[in-house]
Amino acid sequence: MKVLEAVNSWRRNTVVVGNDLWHADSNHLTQQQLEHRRARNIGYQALLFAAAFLVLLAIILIKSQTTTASDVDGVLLVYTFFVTIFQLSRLVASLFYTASYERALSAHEAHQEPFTPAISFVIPAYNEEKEIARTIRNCYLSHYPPEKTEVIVINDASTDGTRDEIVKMKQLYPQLVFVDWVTNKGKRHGMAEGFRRASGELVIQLDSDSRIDPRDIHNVVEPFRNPRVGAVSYHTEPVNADANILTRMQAAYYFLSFRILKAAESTFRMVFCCSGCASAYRREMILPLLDDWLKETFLGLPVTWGDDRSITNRVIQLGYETMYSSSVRAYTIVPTTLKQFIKQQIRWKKGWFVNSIFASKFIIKRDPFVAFTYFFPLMIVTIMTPVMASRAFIYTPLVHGFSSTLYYMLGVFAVAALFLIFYRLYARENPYYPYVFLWACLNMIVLSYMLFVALVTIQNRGWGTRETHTKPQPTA
Amino acid sequence: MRAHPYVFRSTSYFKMVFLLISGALLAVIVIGSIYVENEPALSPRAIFADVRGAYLSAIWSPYQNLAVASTANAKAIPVLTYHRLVRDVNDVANVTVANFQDQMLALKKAGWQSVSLQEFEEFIEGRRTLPEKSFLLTFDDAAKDSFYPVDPILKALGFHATNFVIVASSEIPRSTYYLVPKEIERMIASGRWSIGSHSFDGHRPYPADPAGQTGVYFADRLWLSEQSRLETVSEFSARVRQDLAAAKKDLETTYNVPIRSFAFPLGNETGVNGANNFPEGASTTEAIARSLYKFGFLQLNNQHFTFAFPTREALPGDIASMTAHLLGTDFIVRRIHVDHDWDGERLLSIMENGRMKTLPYEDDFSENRGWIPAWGALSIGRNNFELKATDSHSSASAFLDGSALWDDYGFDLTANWQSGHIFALADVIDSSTYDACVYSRGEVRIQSTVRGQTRTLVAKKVPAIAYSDSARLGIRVHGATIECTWDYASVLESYERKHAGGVGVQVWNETLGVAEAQVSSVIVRPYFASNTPS
Repeated sequence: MKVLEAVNSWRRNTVVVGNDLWHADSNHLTQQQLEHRRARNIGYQALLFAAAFLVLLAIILIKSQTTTASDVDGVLLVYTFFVTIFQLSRLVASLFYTASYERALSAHEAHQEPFTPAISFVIPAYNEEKEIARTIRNCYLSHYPPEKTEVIVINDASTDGTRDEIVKMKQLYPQLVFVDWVTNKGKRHGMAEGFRRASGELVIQLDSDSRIDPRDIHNVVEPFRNPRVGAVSYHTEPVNADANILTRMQAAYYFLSFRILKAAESTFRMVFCCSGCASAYRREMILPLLDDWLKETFLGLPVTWGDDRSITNRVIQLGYETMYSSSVRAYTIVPTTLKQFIKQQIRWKKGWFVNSIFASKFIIKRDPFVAFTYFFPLMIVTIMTPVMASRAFIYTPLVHGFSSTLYYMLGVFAVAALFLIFYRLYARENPYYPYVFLWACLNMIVLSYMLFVALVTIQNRGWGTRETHTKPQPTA
Repeated sequence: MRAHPYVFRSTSYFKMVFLLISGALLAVIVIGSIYVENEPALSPRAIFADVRGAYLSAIWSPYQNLAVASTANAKAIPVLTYHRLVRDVNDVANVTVANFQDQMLALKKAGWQSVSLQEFEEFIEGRRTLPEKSFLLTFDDAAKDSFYPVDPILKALGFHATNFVIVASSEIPRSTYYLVPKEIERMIASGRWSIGSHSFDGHRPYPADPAGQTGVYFADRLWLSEQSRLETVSEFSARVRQDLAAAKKDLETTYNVPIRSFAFPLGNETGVNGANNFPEGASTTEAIARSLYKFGFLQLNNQHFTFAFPTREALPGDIASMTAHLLGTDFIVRRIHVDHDWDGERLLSIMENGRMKTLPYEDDFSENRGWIPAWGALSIGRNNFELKATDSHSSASAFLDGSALWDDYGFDLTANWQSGHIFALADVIDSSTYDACVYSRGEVRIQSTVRGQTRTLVAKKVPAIAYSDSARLGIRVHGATIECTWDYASVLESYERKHAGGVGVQVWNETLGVAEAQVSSVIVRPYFASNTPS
C-alpha cells in the first residue's frame, strides 16, 4: 500500500503541476535533435513493421502445421483461423483510427473559432472517502472557463466518510452541486440524476476514483464540434499500475483495449462502450433516453452492471456516432487483488452479454458493415473462446493428442506478439508492454472462462464498483 | 438548428480499405498456410534441424576436415542399420539421438567415413575402390524420425546416409510419421542421402488365416477372405513380384534415381514370427528380389563376418576362386543392427574388430577383439575365452571377425579341455562353411563343412590326445593341405582343401548342455613360420 500511495502522489503531482514527461520535453529540443529523433522513430517503426511481418510468417507457419498434423482437431482449426483473422482485422482497423478521427472533425472551410460549450462533470460516489475530494478538486483545476464548468457529485448514501469529504469540498467550492441521498439507489440512478441536474451542453461522466488530466479538457470537448458525435470515450490508464504484477498486467490490458480495440471501433465511429471511468455525452441527446435506460431489465430483474455500455448502445441506436479519443489522458484505479479483479471481470462480462443481446436487435439496420465485420464476429469469438479453450486443453489432448493444443497455444502467443508490436508502435513510452503475454496467458487459462461464471450468475445483481462486497441491493 | 460548419464525413473510405487489407490478410494466411503446408523446408522440424545442423557444425568444426588415417583400400566394408532416432531411452527398438550422435562422432574421430549407396554398390561390384574405414549408413522405413534428427549430424560431420523407403507409407497423405514424397525429394536434393527400396506395402501385418492371425507379407501365404482360402504358391509369387517391381518402378519414376538395392522388411531376417504357413516363402521372395534388384539387405545374425565383401567376380585375384565363390557377395548384404544401448565406443569397437586382420595374430583375451559366438555362450575377458553350449544344445561355436581373407596359416590354441570334443576351425567363410580339426579323446579327424553339409575327410586314432588343462592343439592350412597338430606336432593331414578363410573354435558333447572349453591363448602365424613351436 505504501508503494501505491507513493505512486498515486507522484501521478497526482505530475497531473496537477503539469510536468508532462513525454510531451513537455519535446518543446526545448533543437531542430537538429528533433530531426534526429524523427529519423530514429522512422527506423524504429520500420523495425516494428519488419517484426510484424515475421510474426505474420510465424502465424502462417503455425497455421500450416495445424492443418498438416494428422491428429489435428478440425473444429479447433476452423476456430483458430477465424479468431486469428478477426484479431488481425482489429489491428488493421486501429491503424486508421487517427485518420478517421481527423476526418470526423474536418470542416467545410478553415474554421477555427473557439469551441467552448458549457460542461458538467458528473461524479456518482459510493463509499469513496479516500479519493472523492481529489476527484472533485481535479475537475475544478480544468483549463476551462470557470463559468462554463459545473461539477455535480451524487452521494449514493455512502456509509463511510464520503459525505464529510464532499461537504468539505462544498465549503471550498460553493458552486459544487451536491446531491445527497439517504437511501442507496445504485450507480445508474446516480448517473441519471447527474444528467438531469446538469446545465452544461456536454456531460462528462467520471467514476468517483477517476480523473481527466486538467490540461486535456479542450480535447475533451473537441470531438463534439461535429454534431453527429453523441458520446466520446477517453483514453484511460490505471493510476496504480505499479502496485503489483496484476495491476501492471491490467495497465497493458487497458492500453490494448483503449488504444487498439476502442480505437479500432472508433475508426468506424461506433464505440460500443464509452467507458464509465471517463466519457462525455451530449446532454440533450441523453435526457429522452433516461427513463427507458433506468427501467432496463434482463430476465425480469433490473440490470445493475454495464451502465456505461448500456447508455452508449442507446446513443448508437439513436443514430449518433460514438468515438474514442487518445488525446485525452484519464486515470482510474484498478483492482489490486485477484479476487476484486475477477469480480470486476465477471461484472463486465455480464454487462457485455446483456448489452450485446440488446444491440444485436438494431445493429444490422444501424450499420450492417460494423454488424458483420465486428459486432457478430466478436460475439462468436467471445462465446466460443472459453468453449474452444476447454476443448483445446481438455478434450483434444484426450482424443487427438497434444499437437493441437500446442499449436493453439503457439497461435495465441503469436497473435499476442502481433498486438505487442502495435502496442509499441502506438506508444513507445508505455512500459507495461511485456505484460501483454501475461494477459494473453491469463485470458486463455482463466479469464475467458469467466463468461461461463457470468452467465450462470447472471441473476445475481449487485451495485458494483470496486471494493464493495456487501453492497445492499438497490431500491430501484 | 443552427448551421454547423462541421460536415458529416462518412467512414466508407475506411471501410473499403479495411475490407481490402483484412481480406488480403485472410488470403495471405489461408493461401500461405496451404503453400507452406506443402513446403517441407518450412516445417518446424526442418527449421529445427537446420538450426541444429548449424550448431553442430560449429561445435564439431575441428573434426570436419579430419585427415583420413589410412590411404589403403578397403577390402570389405561394414553396413549399419538404424530405424528411427528417438528421445525415449526406454525405446528398445530405436537408438536415441544422443547415442547416435556419440556413435557418429566416435567414428569420425577414429577416421571412419561414410559412403553413398551408389559408391557402396560400385565397390561391391568391383567398379571402384574405397579407402579403408569406409562404411555405409542405412535407415529403414523412411520415417520422419530417420531424417530430421539425423540430417544435422550428417551435415556437421560430412557423412552420407541411405534411407530405405516403404512406397505406400511415403504416400500416406499428411503423414506425421513417414516422410512424404516432397520431403524425400528434399532429402535426396541435400546430397547427403540416397534411397533404396523397402517394398511397396510389405511392411505391415496381413491376415494369414481365417481367425485373423497375421502373417509376414514376404514369407507367409495370406488369407483371401473373399474366397475363404489361403493364396496359392503361384499367387504368393505373383503378389511378391508385383510388390517388389512396383516399389522399384515407383521410386525410380518419382525420384529419378536408379533403385538397385532392396532392404527386406520384417520376417525374412529379423526373427519376427509370421504365421509360418509357408516354409519356402522367404527363399521364394529372395529369388524374386534377386531377379529385380542387385542387392538385398538383411541383418547380421552372428553367422557371418561383419563386413560386406565385393562380389565373387570382384574379389581380388589373390583369393582362391573357391573362396571368392563362397565369400563374395551374391545379392545378400548383411548389416550391423545397431542396438539401442550402444554408445560410440561400443559401435566403434565392433567396427574396428571387423576390419581385416593381419598375420601374425595373437590373442590373450584381455578384451574381445572380434570373436563372434555363432551359437552357444561365449564369454571373453580376464585373459580367458570360455565357450559353452547352452542347455538345449550339444555344441557351441565361435569365429574371429576380420579373419576372412587369411590363407596359408597355422592356428594354434591352448585350451582347458576336459570333456567331449574340441574343434580348431580354419578356412571359415561363415558359421556353416569351414574346415576343422576335430579332437576327441584318443582320436583326431579332419572335416570339411560347406553350407552346413559336413564331410569327414580323414580320421586317425592318436593315443596321445587326452583331456588336459592346457591342451595345445592346432590346425594348419596351406595350398590343398589341411594339417592337424597336437603339442605342435603334426598328427593328421588331408589334401582335399578347397578354399581359404578365417579361424574359429567349436566344442561338442553328445550330452546336451555340457560341451565346454576354456581357451587361454591363440596364435595364428603365416604357414612358413608356423612349423616351429613358439
